[in-house]
Amino acid sequence: MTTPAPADPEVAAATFAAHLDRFFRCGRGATAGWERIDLDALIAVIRLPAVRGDGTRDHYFVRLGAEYYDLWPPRVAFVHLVRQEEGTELWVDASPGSRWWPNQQNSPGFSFRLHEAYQYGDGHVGQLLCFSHTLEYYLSGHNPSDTERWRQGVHTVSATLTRLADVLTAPNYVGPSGDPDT
Amino acid sequence: MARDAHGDHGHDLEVTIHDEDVGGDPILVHAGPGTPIQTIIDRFYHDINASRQADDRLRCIGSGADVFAHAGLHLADYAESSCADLVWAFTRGTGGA
Repeated sequence: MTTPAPADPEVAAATFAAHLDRFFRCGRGATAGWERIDLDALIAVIRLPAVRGDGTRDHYFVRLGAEYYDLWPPRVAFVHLVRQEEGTELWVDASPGSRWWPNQQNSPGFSFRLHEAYQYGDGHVGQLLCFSHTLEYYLSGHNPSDTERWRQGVHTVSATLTRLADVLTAPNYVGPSGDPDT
Repeated sequence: MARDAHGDHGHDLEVTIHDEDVGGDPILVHAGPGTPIQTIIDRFYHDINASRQADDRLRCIGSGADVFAHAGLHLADYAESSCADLVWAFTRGTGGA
């Protein structure tokens, strides 16, 4: 299996922006509840809608990193915004038991698993949204079939975000894993 | 409600198919009310220059129902019974844990 390598930053940034533009212009991002927050040319935070079984609507934020895009899918992590004492704001990884970590059943209609603290081969520990449209899936030694593998020119960030929207829809999605102030 | 491609004077219906892996403009397929759903599916695959794979998914966005399971229905009957607005979402196979 090929080991992912970073893309040319200028090419990655331009491709990432174009695909996000398209997703928010005519894809699912054009529907209610979606929002895009660009942090820099290679990193964006996306607000995704979530729907519980009783129709209650929530929302979550994922941070996308395009350092390897679009030879490889974006990096993805659930995040939330922290306001620091000096008045600055910082997007930090969400944790289970918080409002910003979804309680979901790992059965969105495709193979999926959500890990808070996965130990990667290089020793670092971090989130793993385990499906074949995240970079972390390939960095964690998974080897998809040919029909499942990310393909440049076919898959875009739309594939990643629409699968996550399915994760955040009932019956797979249950609700936040914590209270609003957590 | 499904859109009539010819307004009040024609009979063709419009099926809107979003390829959610690519994420671009949707593909529009126009067909008469007696057209089998399988024919719509075949036209879509022709338009994206692909053949169906076992792990492809094609769903009615409004109901979430699998379109392939209704391949034998006629378009108008399908719209009436399963997917009134005839807007579909297509995705290819996805691997995971």
